[in-house]
Amino acid sequence: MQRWSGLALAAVLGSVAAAACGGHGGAQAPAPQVPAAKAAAAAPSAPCHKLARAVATAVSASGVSSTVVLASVDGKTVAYVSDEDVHAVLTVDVDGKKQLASTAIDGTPGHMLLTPDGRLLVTVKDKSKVVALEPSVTDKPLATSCSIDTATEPVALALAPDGTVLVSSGWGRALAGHDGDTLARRFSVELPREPRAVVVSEDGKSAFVAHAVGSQMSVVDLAAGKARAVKLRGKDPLVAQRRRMMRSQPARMKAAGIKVTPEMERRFAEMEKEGDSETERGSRSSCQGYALAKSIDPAGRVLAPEVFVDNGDPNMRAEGYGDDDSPTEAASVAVLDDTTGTPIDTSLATSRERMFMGHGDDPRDHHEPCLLPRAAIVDPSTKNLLVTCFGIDDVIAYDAAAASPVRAEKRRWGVGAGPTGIALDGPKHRAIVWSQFDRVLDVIELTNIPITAEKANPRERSGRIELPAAERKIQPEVALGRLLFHAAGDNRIAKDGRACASCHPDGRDDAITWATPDGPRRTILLAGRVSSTPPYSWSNGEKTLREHLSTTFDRLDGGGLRSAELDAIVAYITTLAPPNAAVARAPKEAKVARGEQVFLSKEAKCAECHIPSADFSDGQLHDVKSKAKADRGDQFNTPSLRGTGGAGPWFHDGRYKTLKDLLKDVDGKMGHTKQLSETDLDALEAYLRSI
Amino acid sequence: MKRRTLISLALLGATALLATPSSAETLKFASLPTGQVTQHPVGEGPKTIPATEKVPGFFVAKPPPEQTMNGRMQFSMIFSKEKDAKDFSTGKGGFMGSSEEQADVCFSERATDVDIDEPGGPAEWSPSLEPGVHMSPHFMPMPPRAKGGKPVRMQDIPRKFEVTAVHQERFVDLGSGKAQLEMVDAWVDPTTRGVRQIAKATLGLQRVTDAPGGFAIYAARERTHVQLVVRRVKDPDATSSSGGSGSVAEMRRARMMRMPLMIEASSGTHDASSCGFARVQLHAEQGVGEMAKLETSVVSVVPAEEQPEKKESPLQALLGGGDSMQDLSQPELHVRPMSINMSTSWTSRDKEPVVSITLGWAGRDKKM
Repeated sequence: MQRWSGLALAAVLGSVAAAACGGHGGAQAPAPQVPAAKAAAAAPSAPCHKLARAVATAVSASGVSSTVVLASVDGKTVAYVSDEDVHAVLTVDVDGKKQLASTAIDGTPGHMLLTPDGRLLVTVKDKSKVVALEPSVTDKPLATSCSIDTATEPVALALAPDGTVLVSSGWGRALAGHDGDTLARRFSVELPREPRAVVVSEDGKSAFVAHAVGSQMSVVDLAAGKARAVKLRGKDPLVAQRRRMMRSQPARMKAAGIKVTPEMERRFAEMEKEGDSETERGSRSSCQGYALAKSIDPAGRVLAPEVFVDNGDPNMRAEGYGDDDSPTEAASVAVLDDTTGTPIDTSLATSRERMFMGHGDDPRDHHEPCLLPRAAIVDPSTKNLLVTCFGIDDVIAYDAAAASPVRAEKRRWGVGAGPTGIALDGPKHRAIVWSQFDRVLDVIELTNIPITAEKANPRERSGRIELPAAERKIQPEVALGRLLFHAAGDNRIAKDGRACASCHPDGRDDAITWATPDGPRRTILLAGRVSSTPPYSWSNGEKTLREHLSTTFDRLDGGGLRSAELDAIVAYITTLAPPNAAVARAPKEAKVARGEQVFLSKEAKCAECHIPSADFSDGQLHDVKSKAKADRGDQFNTPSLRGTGGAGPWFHDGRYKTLKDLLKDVDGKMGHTKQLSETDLDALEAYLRSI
Repeated sequence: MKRRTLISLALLGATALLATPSSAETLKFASLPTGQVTQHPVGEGPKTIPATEKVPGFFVAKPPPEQTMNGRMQFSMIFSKEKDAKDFSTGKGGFMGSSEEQADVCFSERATDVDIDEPGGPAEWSPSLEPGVHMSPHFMPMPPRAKGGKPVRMQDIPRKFEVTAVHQERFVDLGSGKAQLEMVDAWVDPTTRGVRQIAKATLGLQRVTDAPGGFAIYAARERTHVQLVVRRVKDPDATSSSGGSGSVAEMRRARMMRMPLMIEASSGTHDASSCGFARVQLHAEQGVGEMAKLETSVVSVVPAEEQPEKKESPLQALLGGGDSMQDLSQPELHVRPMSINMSTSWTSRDKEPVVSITLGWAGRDKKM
């Protein structure tokens, strides 16, 4: 399998090179013969400057980025599509329903944003660049205007009212502000893990940044260049209510004329403490914060689709992953006041079980929840918040004016697999959805039709624009694996509808410590580190990835996949690029080089178990004195350190919130760090963040 | 897709005042009528109320002996009509009163889902409205169970009848899209059957939108709340399309329409109204947002002439019952769950609370 993956990767890289050297085709024939420009961002960039005349104008200016952007060019409505499989920006005539051109990108294109002067800014995730493209005529590839360097893995863009272009970087954990004309960097703010979408407040003072993991949103004061975290944790209102009732019990007894003895008082106090723990358990982590949207009417609300997670009590063992007695994942849309940055509490309330008596066990009677939200926009004419959902491959319309939009679902449309982006065409009352896995565009009509006019099937089909096959494709097995990896609601994988990507967003980790049959377990980062680090799991349970997948699906109470499907998932996760590839490629700074010396030194002994030539693992069990209360055993598999710098909290139970805490505390239990100076500890940390 | 006679569409034609049942409405808070609602009394009620004290619309009835399991089960009922109370006491009437229509006068008791148990905390009436109130002896509060101690059996917990506060709501349709809720709260002594008035209030209502299945939605504002009332309305056209009164289809349709309205409050608790209407109240204060959901079934009628001809299965043919298995003279009834979502929220940039009502299908359409 590994050899196959290597060959596949070589084939992929080969085709990237081929695309990069494609040059201008010049003609306007449909793909696969569509014209391809020289791969953008391949050559040293020219200085960026504002365009004198905007050829492309935004159809509905939202100031936020997406993998599909609508522009008016030469009187045509054109969709620019970021095709990460093909490594190209496609130009599609929306009304003519055909692809007009393809602009090759040197790297993996992500979100795009059309600037007021008509430049199309494209994030190139794996090259840490933003490329500026110049639309001219619709049937020719876009010319590369310039490119700028960004922090590692630029993922999303936004336009502030003063013209500043904001760039969020996922692995680089940063939000940078760039001059709207020259794209020169003005400031950069460090953020917590995995930033994703960005929106700017109505008054232009703050930027809101979603995070794929970590139960939070960052609110960045753009004038001061400072970020603060806003916790987005789900709350069960009934837990708090039960606690209040318990607290009031002595008063109720006294009111009823019953004597309350000191022993009763003591027991009530004990019960209240137990209630505290229950309240804590009633607080849910959130993740899958990929998308953000701004409400237009009513204005001043930031809408953040996300998912609440019940990871169980890590101090107890669970039968599977998380608490068996409550739904593990629940869709949500947090609503934040864009002036104060505070969420409306109701939007963070975890929803209760279904109440309607007419629902049977037939899954068709229920709406599958959106457990992998990926893109969002607000349509002001219908007040719809439109959210694209991986796995169920739907676009769901929620009431954007509701205190908790997820509890006010209006309708849904079926779209292609892997809907990564959505763009609004306000004048024509429609939305265009780009689905990467199926490589199709879907057109959704947004007229506010009466509910009675809807079809009997709640999941309606939308209009579709099929794109011609591209020369560069991902392997069918990898494509199948990607579909299965994101298959939410597939009870062969998990009875409760979780997908692989629920705990491994983008093939990474959810930063959550789960209650499992073995004790507390931190989700492991997969991307770029699984192929050469058997055996798998913290307990070294399985020798192959296939075995590990089967065990995982069993713990999730899933029915299990067919052999070819397991192979496909293995093929997909073994081809996932390490998220910090760009960092690893960069020349080592002196500090990182010193950190490497420390890491390899006989005194520190890091490399004895984290063997660099074996992907920083020895594949062995070790007792590093880390057994937690609920752990069955005291020995743990040496995890690979590939990408570990960005994947905290650390250790099997997530006990260390920072790498520095870990390095200082493990002395004598795992290597020796006590003798290291602060400078060397810093250097060691810098090295760990580079590998 | 087959054309289907939706009850709501027929309803639309019935009055020009109805708003289109679009899937969402945002209301202008300032334009809503104002009024008052009563609140559950704070503090203790009277220990007893003389039998001579009465309040119009509150009739207390004891059950006939055959309904008390030889006196082991003690309870009383409260009805809004004297006849219903008499009928119940004599074993002629049921718990829901005599009306075949869904009641417009209903009762509820104290809600258990708010901070009522905080000393001095606010008190609200439960959204669970019933045409009759069932009053049982109250359990006395118990000391906490010691760790490892034996659980106390239900039958060992002392109980006693207490004077209880009861809330009554009467929906009055004033026409032209206007209505009002008349509320009366009273202490009721189940032992003496005496009733003493606590408070009265009237809430003016404006019909703001309609929902499929014959639902009208009314709204009002009251202090720091928005009051929303969802009411089933009579639908003569639906009765007609299902074959008219007395037809099997109409009886089935009417039975479905009498199913309780399920309510999910903002706190996450569930209630059900067996009344002809349901009321929810949502806070409308700056920085606060609340939501409530009401779920019900929408019945649609497919007239006999519009039903597709069904193919006879081989088994039906063998049994010779093919023709009898499809009664083409009867209209076909379909049912589909619908949710009515009601929300208030008020953020910094809003000049007034945003009140939003959303309709959505909660599942697929199925043949009844």
